[in-house]
Amino acid sequence: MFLELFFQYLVAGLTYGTIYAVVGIGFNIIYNTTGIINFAQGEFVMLGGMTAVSLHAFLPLPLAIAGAVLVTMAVGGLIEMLFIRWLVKPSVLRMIIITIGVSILIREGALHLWGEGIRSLPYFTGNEVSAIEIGGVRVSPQVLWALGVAAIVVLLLNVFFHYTMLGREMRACASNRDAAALCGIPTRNMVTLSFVVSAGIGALAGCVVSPITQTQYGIGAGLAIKGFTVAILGGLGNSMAAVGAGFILGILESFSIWVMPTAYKDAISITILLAMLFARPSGLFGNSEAARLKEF
Amino acid sequence: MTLLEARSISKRFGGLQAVKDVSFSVAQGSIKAVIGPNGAGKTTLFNLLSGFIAPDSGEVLLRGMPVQDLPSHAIATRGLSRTFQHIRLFGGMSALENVMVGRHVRSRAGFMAGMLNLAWTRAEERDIRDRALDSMEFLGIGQLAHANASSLSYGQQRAVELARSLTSEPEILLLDEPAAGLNMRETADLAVLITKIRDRGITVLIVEHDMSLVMNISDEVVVLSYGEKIADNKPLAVQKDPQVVRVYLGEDEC
Amino acid sequence: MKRFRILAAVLGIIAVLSLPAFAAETIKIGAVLAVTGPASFLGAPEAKTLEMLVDEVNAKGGINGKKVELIVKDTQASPEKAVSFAKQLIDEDKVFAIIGPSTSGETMAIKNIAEEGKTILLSCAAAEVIVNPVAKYVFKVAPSDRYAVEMIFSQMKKMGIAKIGVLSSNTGFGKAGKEQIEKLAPEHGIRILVNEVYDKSATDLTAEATKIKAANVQAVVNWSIEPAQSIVIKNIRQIGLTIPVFQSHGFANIQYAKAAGAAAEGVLFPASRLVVADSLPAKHPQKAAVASYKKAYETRFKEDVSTFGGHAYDSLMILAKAIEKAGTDKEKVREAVEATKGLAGTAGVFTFSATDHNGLDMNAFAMLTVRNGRFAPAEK
Ligand SMILES: Nc1ncnc2c1ncn2[C@@H]1O[C@H](COP(=O)(O)OP(=O)(O)OP(=O)(O)O)[C@@H](O)[C@H]1O
Ligand SMILES: [Mg+2]
Repeated sequence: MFLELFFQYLVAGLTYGTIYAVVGIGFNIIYNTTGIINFAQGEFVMLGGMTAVSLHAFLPLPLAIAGAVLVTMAVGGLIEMLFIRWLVKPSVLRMIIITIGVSILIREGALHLWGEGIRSLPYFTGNEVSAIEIGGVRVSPQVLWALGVAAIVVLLLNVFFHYTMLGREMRACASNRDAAALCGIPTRNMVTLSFVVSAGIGALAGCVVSPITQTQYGIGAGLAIKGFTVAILGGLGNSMAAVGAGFILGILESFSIWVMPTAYKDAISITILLAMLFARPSGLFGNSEAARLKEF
Repeated sequence: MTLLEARSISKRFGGLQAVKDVSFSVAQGSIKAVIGPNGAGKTTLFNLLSGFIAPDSGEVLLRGMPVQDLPSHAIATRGLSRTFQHIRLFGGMSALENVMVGRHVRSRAGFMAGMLNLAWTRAEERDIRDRALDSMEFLGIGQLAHANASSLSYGQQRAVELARSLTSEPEILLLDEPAAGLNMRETADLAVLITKIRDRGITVLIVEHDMSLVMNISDEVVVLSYGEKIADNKPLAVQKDPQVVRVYLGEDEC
Repeated sequence: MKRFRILAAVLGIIAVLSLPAFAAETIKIGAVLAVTGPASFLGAPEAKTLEMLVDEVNAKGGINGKKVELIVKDTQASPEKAVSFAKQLIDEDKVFAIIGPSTSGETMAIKNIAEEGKTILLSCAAAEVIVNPVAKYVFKVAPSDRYAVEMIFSQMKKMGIAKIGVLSSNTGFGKAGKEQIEKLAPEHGIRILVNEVYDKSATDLTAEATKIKAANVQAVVNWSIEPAQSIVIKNIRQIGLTIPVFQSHGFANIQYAKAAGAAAEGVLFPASRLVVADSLPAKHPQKAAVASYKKAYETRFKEDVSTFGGHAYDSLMILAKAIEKAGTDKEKVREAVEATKGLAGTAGVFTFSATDHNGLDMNAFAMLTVRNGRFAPAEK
């Protein structure tokens, strides 16, 4: 019984962790190219889920998700072009404030468009009550879907950033904009691209977690806080680390619920987070190199 | 034939006239040096030529085309590459990756192709890698390819930066104090290297304080003082120019 | 002299013609509602309902031949605004009575103002404190959470359930429910073995569900109004728990059942009869009120009725009945409201007294369940 419980809590932690991780990854891309935390990232997650639900009314699920990802990517690119591109040497603080403004704008727009009702995509396999059982421990197949998607996204991003010219150029931009420009890289386009890619990843995350968390115009902020937390905890700029940190935070939370009232969950996880950052300011998996990053 | 030309370019920073009405031209296939005391405006001149800052007035012509209003990445794409007085590498990337990024100017793979990793993209990727390694071999840093750029020594970082520029196969290469921090032997090696680069058909414009280096390799020398051009001639003639001797060589040789 | 008489006659005619306007003085009713802002899901249908009812009443010639004039103030759920609007309505507009506010916080903020202004206040909010202790002029028409809890406990008794787990969200709604559950459980012989409060923005509650599972309880009660109330039933079922799940009356919005899909089947929750208006038997005392309000509202506004709009309906009906009986003397009308007996509204059958200014009991709620994706009475 103890072991079974242990593993059931572990599964719960993995579920939390997967949600945090898949949202957290999106933060890294924009951070990588601009050095800012995009506070509208949660809204990309929400937009992805909402759009997919709407499209699913007349498209099969895979197409609806693909469509939602594309739409959100377009929104991401547009936001960068409208609100950020024209700024001459914006300070990090100013960019952050702009992304906060944008997040409010998207949220209000979504409220207008979709109302405050909650929706969700259907479970990719099975339904709301189905679960895969291994030795008395049960896990919803959707959690495995989310895990799989997170894994694939991390893999693709790693390939993209390390083995394609464009990915390398985005990293170059992040590292030194002037030198990147000298190499002929249109740095502003790279920033736009980072918004497009982040929005796409956010939207995909929004779709894959939608059956678990459900989707509502206001869900972005809550998801973003945890995603942001694990992105920092992992060491900003590293998607693999965000996933690792996501699992650590999720499992910590889950086990804290086991032994203590749920109400303390966030207090416990925040305390641990602060302690970890105190010990390793560059994040669990980050190197100090990445930490003394980037001003615009 | 004139490859790069500055026509009366000026730049003012607040109350300071950093570059004042400077004109000169660089002939294709030559090595030209820009010298002058500290604060004379050499780096500012490079920044103007490479599009990092826009001139207040005047024109910059690359192959006869005005480029002073273009952003620096567009100028880079037109065949101008430079290194920095204060090294600017991509930290967190390997030396080889740094050098590979330099090839951007000549690569075609777009985002989608990159993600889909199409056959020709892979071929191009391999080509870029090969060329990057070639440049590094040429500069004698082939063995550093997989080291993290920010972990390298100062001299090695300079070499990586130079390799990055070379990999783009520029028409003209602007070097801002490449010998800074090098010992005498390394400086001598650098002189050989720069002439080799010129022999590859790359025009070189160099800012340097090391007079022996400048006088040995340059075809022509421009002298700046307080932002103004005071001489533009063959090295020997410049050395004898009384005005140059007064404002520059005189105080530098003591 | 003759000319003077003509003039007098003309004046007389004018006076006679304009007389009805003087004689049929209007009854001014104020409404302090959260029409926009975070609680607009309460205030918006309430305001619409009042507007609709006042039009209806006036079309029929008003109350006792007197037209009703409605003055709606939008508080945006801010207690400070509620206070200044209430003062304005009482002191400047000299309204006859005030309907609202939409939320408990706002109601508590103006409870004393109504009391001192000797103006009848019919609150649409649910908190017990609004009417306990009783204030002479303050009434409320939304059933207390206590009744919902009692309804659940009596259902548990029928099912032989004595050990339960309780989950609630960290909102005012969740907290109020949790307190009532903790307070009433001993009286009903029910033991709470797990009692967890989760964050209102929780996105997955598998660990909480696991805790419930480990405690070997016979049923779970969840008290929240967030999407979490759908998520929690999914998680409970996913980890293989098959015990009955009870939800609060906050679940009485079909979107939560839809979001929970297959997991919502069999969930038990107390709800206003307005939610199951169509399946209410014809002889049910509330049938007429519930059916006519639902039809009128849905035809006019092309959106589903909500229990909140129903509270506004009940407020105005109670007030109108009292005015019909007692005329336009504020004191007499207040006594008439307090003497209301067996008045069937949307939220239940109201019987007020000097000590009970809510006038409802646990029977304000019906026990509902989800069957084939739709709300249905728990007993077949
Ligand atoms: N961005 C800037 N803003 C204000 N002043 C500047 C700026 N860049 C350069 N200057 C000033 O312009 C003058 C010329 O600087 P510049 O860097 O071009 O000199 P330099 O000839 O390269 O000197 P050094 O030999 O020390 O490298 C200096 O006084 C410098 O302080
Ligand atoms: Mg300089």
